[in-house]
Amino acid sequence: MNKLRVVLFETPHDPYYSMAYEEAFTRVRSRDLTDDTLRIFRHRDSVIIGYFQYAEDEVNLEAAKNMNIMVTRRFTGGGAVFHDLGDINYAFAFKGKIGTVDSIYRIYVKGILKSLNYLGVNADVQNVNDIVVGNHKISGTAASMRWNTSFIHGAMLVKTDLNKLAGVLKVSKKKLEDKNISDVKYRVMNLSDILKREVDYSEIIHSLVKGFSDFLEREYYFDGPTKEELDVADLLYREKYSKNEWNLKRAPFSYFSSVEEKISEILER
Amino acid sequence: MENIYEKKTRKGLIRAKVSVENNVINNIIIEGDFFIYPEDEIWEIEEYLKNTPVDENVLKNKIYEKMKNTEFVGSDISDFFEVIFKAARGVKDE
Repeated sequence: MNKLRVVLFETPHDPYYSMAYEEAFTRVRSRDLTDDTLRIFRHRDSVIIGYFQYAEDEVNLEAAKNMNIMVTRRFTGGGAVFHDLGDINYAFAFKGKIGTVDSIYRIYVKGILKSLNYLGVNADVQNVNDIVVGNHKISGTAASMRWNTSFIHGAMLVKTDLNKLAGVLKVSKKKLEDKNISDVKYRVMNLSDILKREVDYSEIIHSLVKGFSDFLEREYYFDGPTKEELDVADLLYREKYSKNEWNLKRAPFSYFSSVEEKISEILER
Repeated sequence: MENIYEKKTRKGLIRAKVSVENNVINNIIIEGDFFIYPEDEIWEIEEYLKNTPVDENVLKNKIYEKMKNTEFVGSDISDFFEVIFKAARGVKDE
């Protein structure tokens, strides 16, 4: 069993590039050029929408522009999330498929629960992939499988500006109605408010690394991005993640099929 | 004219935008914060349903056939059928 590779590479000023790297490191893992990888990173004020979403339906684009909030899109399903430097993101890519996406949640969310445990937080999973403390959601996750590699990522609210979050995300009428009449009892909350103390970035990194490493029963090592990862990220940034078609217009992977051959060329050098 | 129908499922909202002309689907978009796998089936089913008559059985058969191997996380194939059919029929939010 290979060791757990931990990468802290982040481009907080440029969420487009950061999301390009997200896809890149997963693709590079799929070619066995790296070990199973846990990435921990942050973004400046931005909204990351889900793969099936149109930006204009989920984001108040005018408000986002006025608040200098960038909008980009990830390759997993689920809803739009607001990121700022008070939100800490994690992504774990491991080679192989384990049957169903549901099983990725069932198994690997435990790594996050263990991490939170090291911070002194007893968290649970609700509604498949929401991580909650009591009635409060502190992290959402999204998983997928592509390129014979399994993937799960999420955002942990540590000290996020929840007012900005509310100001920029649109909530559909159906969801609001649902919240009034059904069992959605939990709301988002920052970890620092739950712990009633400041929580710094290094503390979160330490707990995530230890949590995943212990859960996986694997030793870990820190690493920087590889040349292949950066080359693929550069390409994806240029041709996909800096484009409105990807970020705003819900274009699928097939729309960007011209990158596939170029990625193969990079990875087969 | 584009009709929109949306439904909040156990895990995520499904929204269909459907254009219908002479009782035939012209264009369809399925969006939202749901989870299915493989994800790209959404674009395949959108293509597959173009030029389909707005008939409950025909639509149901096509959707169930196309999505028979899809993994749904927190929603169900019947949710997708319901949203698409109701949007195609021009049903307004209940």
